[in-house]
Amino acid sequence: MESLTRIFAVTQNTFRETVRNKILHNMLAFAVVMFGLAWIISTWSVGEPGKIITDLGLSITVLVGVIIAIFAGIVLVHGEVDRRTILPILAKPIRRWEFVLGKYLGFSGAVLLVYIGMNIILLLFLAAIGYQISTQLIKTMFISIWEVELVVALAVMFSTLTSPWLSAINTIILFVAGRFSYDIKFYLDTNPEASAGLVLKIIYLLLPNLSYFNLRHEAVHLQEIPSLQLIYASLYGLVYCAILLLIASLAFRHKDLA
Amino acid sequence: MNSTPAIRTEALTKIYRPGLFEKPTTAVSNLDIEIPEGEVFGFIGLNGAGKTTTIKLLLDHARPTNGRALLFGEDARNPRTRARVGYLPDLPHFHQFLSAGELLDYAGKLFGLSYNVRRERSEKLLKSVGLEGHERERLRNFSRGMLQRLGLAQALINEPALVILDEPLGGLDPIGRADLREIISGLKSEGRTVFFSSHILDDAQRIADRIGIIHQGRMIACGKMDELLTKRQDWEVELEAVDGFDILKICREMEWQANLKENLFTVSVPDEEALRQVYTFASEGKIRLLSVEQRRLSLEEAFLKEVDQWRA
Repeated sequence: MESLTRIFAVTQNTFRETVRNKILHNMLAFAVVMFGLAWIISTWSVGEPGKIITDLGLSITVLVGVIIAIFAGIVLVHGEVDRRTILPILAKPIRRWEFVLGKYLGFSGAVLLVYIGMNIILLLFLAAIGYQISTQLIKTMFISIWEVELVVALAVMFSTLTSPWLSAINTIILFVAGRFSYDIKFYLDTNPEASAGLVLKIIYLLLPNLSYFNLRHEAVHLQEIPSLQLIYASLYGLVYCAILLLIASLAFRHKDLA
Repeated sequence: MNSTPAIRTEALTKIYRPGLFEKPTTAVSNLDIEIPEGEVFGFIGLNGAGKTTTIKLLLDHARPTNGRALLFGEDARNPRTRARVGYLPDLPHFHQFLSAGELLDYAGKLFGLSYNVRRERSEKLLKSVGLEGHERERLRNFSRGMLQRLGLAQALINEPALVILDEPLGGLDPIGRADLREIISGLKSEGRTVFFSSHILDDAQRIADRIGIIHQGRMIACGKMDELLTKRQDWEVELEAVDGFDILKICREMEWQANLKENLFTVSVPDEEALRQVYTFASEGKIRLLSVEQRRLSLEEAFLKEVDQWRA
């Protein structure tokens, strides 16, 4: 119980820090401008404007969410150490893993809030042009939250391990690799005798498979999304985030503070 | 009084190894300290002597390479020990986006204090450190001295049995320093243990019951103020001249320093032989002796003497 109180205190403080961060406000404004651009592009293009806005809009929300996750997440723990604001906090009876978990929860909560806000704005855009809001779209919005949360966890993990620039580079590399990790599986399925197959399989298993959270095609073309798929993808996201936070906590456990 | 010391270190050593090709640095070496409950202990040393590293080892901000640190008899690496500790860091940096009230509330939550207790103590502490009326002000608008005062307030939110202050007097103006000395005296009278590091020796001399001198990571002297501030060879004599005796002329001839204030001479007498001469004047009725006191080393002199001896 005492542990929960301390985690909640750090969560609350980090949430407050993030929502008072100007980067967050600017990125939200950037998303709104991008939705406007998507609407302009949809009026120039051949095809249904609602589908184009849905496609571009979903990409924008994920992109903005990931940018916030990377550029605010990479300084989350490292920044506290660097600015020495962590010293009076860790002089209190808090365990280091409680601090890391609290930072993650507070930050991911704030990112989630912005992410939900962006999706609501997107839905309002679509409603304004008379586009029918489908359950596929809502399901896609829900599942893509995990993609952002997973990038948040990656950024927080690297933030406990290394400097902000290295954290940013590593997180971006893993995000891009995670987007294409399904291609490794496709290659292995079509080339079962491939050399270094075992190595590729291990890499595929270790990399975050972000394609589980990308259902944009299904949302745009109104294809069926089974509920089991949502549950499976959510569990995958949850477990992957938990592993990343475990690594972060272990790395931070005995770290000397400057 | 409880016999378990508030702080105890046993051969505490910290060696930093910056990189594969860089030379390891010994920040603290075989440090043994024992500080009983209720004592005000001053930890003094030059910049880079190992004061802050020792504090980091006490608070588990860094792990010892060898030896161990105990707080109230428990290993300092156990977070539970810090429930009874308050800490003010050197150059306190706090979250700029918070207000003073929010910072104290956050600190209180980390100790598991209830809302009412947090609120009551915040008000009381802000008042006691002279920040009353600044509760809602954001910390980005605070001066260095205000942050130092707020740092002290957050260190006391849990009413700690042990208060660790890293350079608490730095950044404070003379009034702030006087206030802080008063707060530390108050903590001592409440039976709390205070461990502070400082290189402002004058203040350390006024506050501490006992002083430890650290140099290049080693404790080179530790003791009560009386033990450290040993007697010097010279004497301070207060006297009055009788029947127009020209004591100033004598002082000039003997090269003694003398000050005159309202017919009262304060003479600095360099050694015992010179003091015998003064007694001769007194016995001859040329002067009336009011007081004779052997001078003591100031803490600064004692500190420099210990460092010089250690170097030799």
